[in-house]
Amino acid sequence: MSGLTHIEARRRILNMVPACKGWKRYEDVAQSGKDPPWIVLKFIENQRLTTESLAVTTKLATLEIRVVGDTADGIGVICDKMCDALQGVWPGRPFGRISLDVDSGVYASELVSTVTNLPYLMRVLRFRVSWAAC
Amino acid sequence: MIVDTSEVKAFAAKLQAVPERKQRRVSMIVKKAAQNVKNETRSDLTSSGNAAFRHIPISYEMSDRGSVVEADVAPDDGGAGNLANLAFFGTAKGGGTHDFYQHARAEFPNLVRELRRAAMGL
Repeated sequence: MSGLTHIEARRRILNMVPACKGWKRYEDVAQSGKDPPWIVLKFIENQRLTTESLAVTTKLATLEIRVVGDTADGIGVICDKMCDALQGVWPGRPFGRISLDVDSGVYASELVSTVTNLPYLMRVLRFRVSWAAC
Repeated sequence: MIVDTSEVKAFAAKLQAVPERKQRRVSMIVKKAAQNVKNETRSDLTSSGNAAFRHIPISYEMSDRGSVVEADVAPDDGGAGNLANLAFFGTAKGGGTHDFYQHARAEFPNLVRELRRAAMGL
């Protein structure tokens, strides 16, 4: 067994997400009462591959990065940085390489800026990563 | 000497008709796959706890250009269709619990299996 726990896997993957100056970073959910720009990270272990006898061989997880900001360009810069830091990168044993799975593109969020009276824009990137369970 | 070539001619005619017949079949298979993806996505959305999400329309467009057959499955623009991003990717704070790409991925093995069958024989 690789002995990698969920918490350890989560910590190792989230540590690879680059810090972005001026963008608040939250895990799982954004803090109430605060305004964007922010980045919400979520690590969800959501699939297991098994042998015929149902022994788990591989665990798969999705790293979701939710980037919310004022402008599409600002969001583009952050997402570009995220993709550069994560796409195809190998976190080391027992992980496989991280791959970009889904990119939502930029769309208007439900939050409206009190400064510009325009909706905040957002973009969601979902990366997939797997690691050996045995 | 008289040689009966009727069977050879019939075979040649059959060969000639193959590309057109195969292409029709490929189009049908791709269309069926698109329909399945649409149905799965719609049934996912209709199970939503959010009333507006339940009305997001999903449709597909077929594009048949010679050797390329495509189906583009997507939510419709306008009305409840504008909520598709929120349903599939969530709001600024989280969410996005409905699947979209996953339904297409689940259909992909069926599509490949049927295309392989279509490619076999005359």
